[in-house]
Amino acid sequence: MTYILESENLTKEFNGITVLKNVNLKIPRGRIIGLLGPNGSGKTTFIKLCNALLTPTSGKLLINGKKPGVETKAVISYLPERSYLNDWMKVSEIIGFFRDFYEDFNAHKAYDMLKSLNLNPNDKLRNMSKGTKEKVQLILVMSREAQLYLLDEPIGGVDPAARDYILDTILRNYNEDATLILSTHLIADIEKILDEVIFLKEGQVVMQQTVDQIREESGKSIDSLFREVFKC
Amino acid sequence: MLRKLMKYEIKATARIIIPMQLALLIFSIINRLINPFSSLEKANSFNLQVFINAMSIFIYFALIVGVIAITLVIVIQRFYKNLLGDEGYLMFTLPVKVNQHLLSKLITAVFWMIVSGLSLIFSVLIISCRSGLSTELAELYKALKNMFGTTGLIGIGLYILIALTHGILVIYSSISLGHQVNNHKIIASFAAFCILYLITQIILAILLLLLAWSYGFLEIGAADLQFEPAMLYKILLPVSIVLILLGIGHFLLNNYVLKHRLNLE
Repeated sequence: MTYILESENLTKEFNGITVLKNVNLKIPRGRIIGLLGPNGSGKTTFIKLCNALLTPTSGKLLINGKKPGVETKAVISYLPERSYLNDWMKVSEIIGFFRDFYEDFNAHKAYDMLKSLNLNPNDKLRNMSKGTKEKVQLILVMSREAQLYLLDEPIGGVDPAARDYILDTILRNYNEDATLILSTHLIADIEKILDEVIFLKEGQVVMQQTVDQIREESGKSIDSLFREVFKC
Repeated sequence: MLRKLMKYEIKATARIIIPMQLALLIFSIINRLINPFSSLEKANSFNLQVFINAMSIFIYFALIVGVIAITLVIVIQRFYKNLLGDEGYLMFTLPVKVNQHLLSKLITAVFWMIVSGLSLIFSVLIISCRSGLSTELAELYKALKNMFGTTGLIGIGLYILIALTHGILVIYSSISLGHQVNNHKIIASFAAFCILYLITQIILAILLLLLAWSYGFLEIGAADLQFEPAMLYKILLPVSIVLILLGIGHFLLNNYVLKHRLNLE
């Protein structure tokens, strides 16, 4: 079976500054993976390259065996680190938008999640707080039955109580064959759901290991290992 | 997919353009009812009525300028904000081809330009049907028809459409190219527009010179040449073809940049 995501010497430069350097990764299906690293380590850049929002400077990147394009976009569900929804639509209209464009979108699921978070589908995004908008975006992204979920800082802007619900939502809404990549630096919060971690440091992969391996070999939690690897 | 994109494109633009058009329509009717143009002509002293008339004419013309300006701003803003701003994170992760994004934006923009043009004509008709302008307009139309013929008028209409579409594509190219620069993207877009405009003007000037030369307009005694509709076609047709070719070039350029050189901030 092919890997859901493969990269070979993937490099990205901005203005002559190398943000990602020779990233080689093979990511299998059916995993929950933490893409971890300090600010500016290239997490967002990597995720944006996978979504074809950035063009690589050099190297190869394959998703589902294909170069980023229309076909890969159909199988990736992406949560960016910013608000990408326009502010004039109602939540219900945005759900219609997603249903129109993504064949794997399950509107029923989205309405269920809205209900359990007490969000009104008739509210306009304009009138929502930043945290609420993030919740709406996460609901939209998790209502798809995608093969690869790329979640960039999914819990960064929400309160700790909502964090638990969101992690729970993520776990409940992804299918066994799908792979989920979460980028964050709030490691303690997500540690318990991860199968595997990738540590990025200054644009390079310094480690890709399963959580079990890490626990066996070093006897440390991901959080303490992270603090050790990235000690300032 | 193109149909779906256009559905949302029209929805996003109509909510701003339609109210503007309605305001213009309402003010045309108001202007027709109080008929400020003829009462201003008759007025010989300044009073409240004159003031109201002047104001209503002023608002009317402001609305006309507004409709044109808003249409233009929306053409720019939909491209810049929806594709290259934060909303681009959603648009460019939809399983849709770049050329479909471009086409949906372009067709919608041309559509609104036509609607705005028609609503301006309609508004003039509303106002003129009282003050006797309508017969004069009918005469103008007849004169134009005599001069160019019906096919000639359609030809001129098509030319305007081609020139508009080309203009929109130049704006898109400027924004796409401006976005390639790392800082000051908006200034870079303006600079790109100026350069593209200059290049287009040079190409058209050379073309016109060539045409004039080949038709003998440059020869001594050419000033005596009588205007004939056929001359118009001889100029408009090649210019249209060049504009279409340039337009295709801009479309391909945009498609390439947004597909292979996209770097959203």
